[in-house]
Amino acid sequence: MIPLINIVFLLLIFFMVASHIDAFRPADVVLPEMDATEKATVQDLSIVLASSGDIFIDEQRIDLQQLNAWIEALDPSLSDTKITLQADKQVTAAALSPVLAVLRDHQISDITLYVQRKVLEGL
Amino acid sequence: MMANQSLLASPVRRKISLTALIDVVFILLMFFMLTASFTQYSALTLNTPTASENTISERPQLLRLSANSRVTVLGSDHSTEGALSEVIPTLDPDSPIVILPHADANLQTILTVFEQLKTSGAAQLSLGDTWGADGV
Repeated sequence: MIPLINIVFLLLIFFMVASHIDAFRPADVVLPEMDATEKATVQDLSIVLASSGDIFIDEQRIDLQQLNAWIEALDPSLSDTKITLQADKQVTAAALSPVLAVLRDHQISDITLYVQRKVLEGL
Repeated sequence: MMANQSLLASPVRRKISLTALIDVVFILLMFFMLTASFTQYSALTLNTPTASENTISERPQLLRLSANSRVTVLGSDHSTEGALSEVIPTLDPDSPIVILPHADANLQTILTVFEQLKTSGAAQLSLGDTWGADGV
């Protein structure tokens, strides 16, 4: 009994330390895979783009006009604002382009795209 | 009087039964095993052509990407079409490259091209407008 609980405790500690719990994403967003990127840093604002083309901010579904209004309502020091984009890997360029255009209209050039490291082949 | 006494903590500390303890630990273990995620997130800084301070002085190389990963280098005199690996040697890695994705090209396709160009040494990559949405 004692060695068993020791092992279970070890497993518990392993999972607690080695893993992280994902923040909730409103839609079933699968990030694209890519290597050769920088490490992800915590950013101010996050836009989620689902594979259907829906845009989410703070777990709320919005359209392009609302996105436009939302960015306008942000701090005036917009040039320093860092925006992260969590887009599904199936998002088409046609859906991505208007979002980038809205950001571009507000002179936001610092866009960070979240990607996940490639899973090992065959896994 | 008797009821009052039974409310007080008993002076003898009872040991927690090992079976009950292991049950709780197993539940915790299950929770962490099921919620755990080991994916490594990383970030890619996406350059979109803004009217920014670092305006490009030289003419960028335009790379048209179709939905099936075929690329076309739009040259001034002629265009080369083919798979990306065939096209990469004809590109100059030192001058800026703008990728123009087809409207139906998905993000994974675009990023795979980004990645391949990056590993081939291209430093100035940016994402341009889409084409093919309304017959353009």
